[in-house]
Amino acid sequence: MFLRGARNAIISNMISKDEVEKLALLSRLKLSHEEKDLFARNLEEIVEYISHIEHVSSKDLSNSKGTVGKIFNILRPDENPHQSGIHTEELVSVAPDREGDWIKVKKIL
Amino acid sequence: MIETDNLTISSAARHLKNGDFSATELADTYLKRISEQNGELNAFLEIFDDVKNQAAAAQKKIEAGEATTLTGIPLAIKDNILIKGRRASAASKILEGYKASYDAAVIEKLNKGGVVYLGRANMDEFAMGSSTENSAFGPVKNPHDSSRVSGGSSGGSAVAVSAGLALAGLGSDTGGSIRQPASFCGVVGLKTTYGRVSRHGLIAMGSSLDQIGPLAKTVTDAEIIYKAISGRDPRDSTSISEDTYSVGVKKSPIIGIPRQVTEEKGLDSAVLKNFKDSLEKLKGLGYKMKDIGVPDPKDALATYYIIMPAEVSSNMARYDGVRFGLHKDGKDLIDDYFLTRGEGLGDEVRRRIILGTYVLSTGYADEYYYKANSLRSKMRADYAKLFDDVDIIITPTAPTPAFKIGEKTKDPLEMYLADIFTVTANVLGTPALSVPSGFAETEDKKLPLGLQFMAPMGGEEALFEIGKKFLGE
Repeated sequence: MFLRGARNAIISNMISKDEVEKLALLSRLKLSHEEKDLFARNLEEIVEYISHIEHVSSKDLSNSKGTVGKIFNILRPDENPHQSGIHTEELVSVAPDREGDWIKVKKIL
Repeated sequence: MIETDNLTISSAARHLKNGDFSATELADTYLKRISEQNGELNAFLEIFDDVKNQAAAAQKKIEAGEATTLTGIPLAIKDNILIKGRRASAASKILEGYKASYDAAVIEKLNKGGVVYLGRANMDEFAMGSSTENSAFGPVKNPHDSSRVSGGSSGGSAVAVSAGLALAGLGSDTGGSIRQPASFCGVVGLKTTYGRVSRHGLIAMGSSLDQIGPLAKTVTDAEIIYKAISGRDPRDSTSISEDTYSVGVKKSPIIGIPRQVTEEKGLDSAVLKNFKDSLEKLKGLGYKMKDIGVPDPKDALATYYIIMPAEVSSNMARYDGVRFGLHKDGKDLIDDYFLTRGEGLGDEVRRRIILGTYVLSTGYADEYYYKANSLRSKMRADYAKLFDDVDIIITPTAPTPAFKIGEKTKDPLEMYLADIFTVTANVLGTPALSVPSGFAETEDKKLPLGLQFMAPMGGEEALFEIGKKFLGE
């Protein structure tokens, strides 16, 4: 019954509107009040479903972090650079705001 | 006008070579079909204004005797694959005005063949969705019943092929985004082995899951595109070599039938009946079958809906309104981010970013993200063992035929369940092929259904073999 099972589960109050607000702040997303309510309800259901993996006991799992940590970066040697500036215009031209060959942003500090 | 109903890449290539019609005539035929039908179907977001020039260049190649099978073939390209100098929006408002500054690796390869790019195919925003209803530019409609969804996220490419608006298309598949719309629209869709096709120039969603692949009318056509776009590329560090996995094609492969599928009570009755009919058909073709127990499909879906949003939340961080695309001005820099991302990104994208941030946050990462990754390792080991006994595992591609537009948009979890049979291949990295297997009759319409074949890592050849036999190619 993997298709319907989750819907019969009792939905616990796991994700609050405050928590959604905090997550939205961390991920730099503006949400309206209605959206915060909606996302809190949606997330509660989704988290209920994904919590299905809790049933897997850590005994069954060979290591605690799976493939994380086994993955490594493949690096290339830093050589044969292209001629400086040849891509500047095509890259800067798509930026919303520029000043000369620079991308312009508001002051940070 | 050229009759396109029975036209395939292989037959069109033959006609082009014989001079039965020119690449220009072929392109004109598709442009006319698009102008007649795209208003209703919304499969394309943009038709390129230089299609005729592309076709003329292809025709020159043909006349000079330099043609390959793909020269002059009109294709639909999903809007998350970059073509230099052309717009690419991933069907999102946040990429407003963005023009690609380079070609994706797959486009470089197709350029060598001299294909004709018809336009940008509609999709769920940033490929997040299973119905193409999450496009910021309106849903794609299913040509078999325009009140129903195309499936997604590569719905535009699937509909373009199904309705004869393109001869074939490219899609991307993170959790079923090629196979599920292929199933809903009655076409062939291939998710390639992880690493088989370079993602350089593909707008990233879930980087440990994403793969580019073809949507086509026949398995033979899908194979032609697969051969053209696959191969190692140092610019995608996950890309593999020809010999990374050594799998031969067996003379008489054994098919594994997961008993969880045949015993699932929530499965649509038409899907189940069609699945059983397909098994009979394969038996009739001489295939040996074996009843197998696979890991709980719910494990795969739950794992997927942890790992994917985690990767989404990281990949989507680049859309900040500074370097490209939409910019909304706030009172300071951080306010610019909030406004740009809040207005530029749709509901589902923001939902997944928030979910991903949640499963990665301190205190929850152990419970969700790390556990999902170790479950993923366990699933890989379990399936590797299963593939010692069977060569191909089959399931329906989707648990239902195409559903009504609007039916699931209010219920994201219900929408996620549409991926139940397809996500496993992405979680494992294995290749999987969806082929049309018949129809479900509802009301007065016939809705296509699909059958999914999954092979071990590197097993594309075995998929083409069985797919062609199943479809009588």
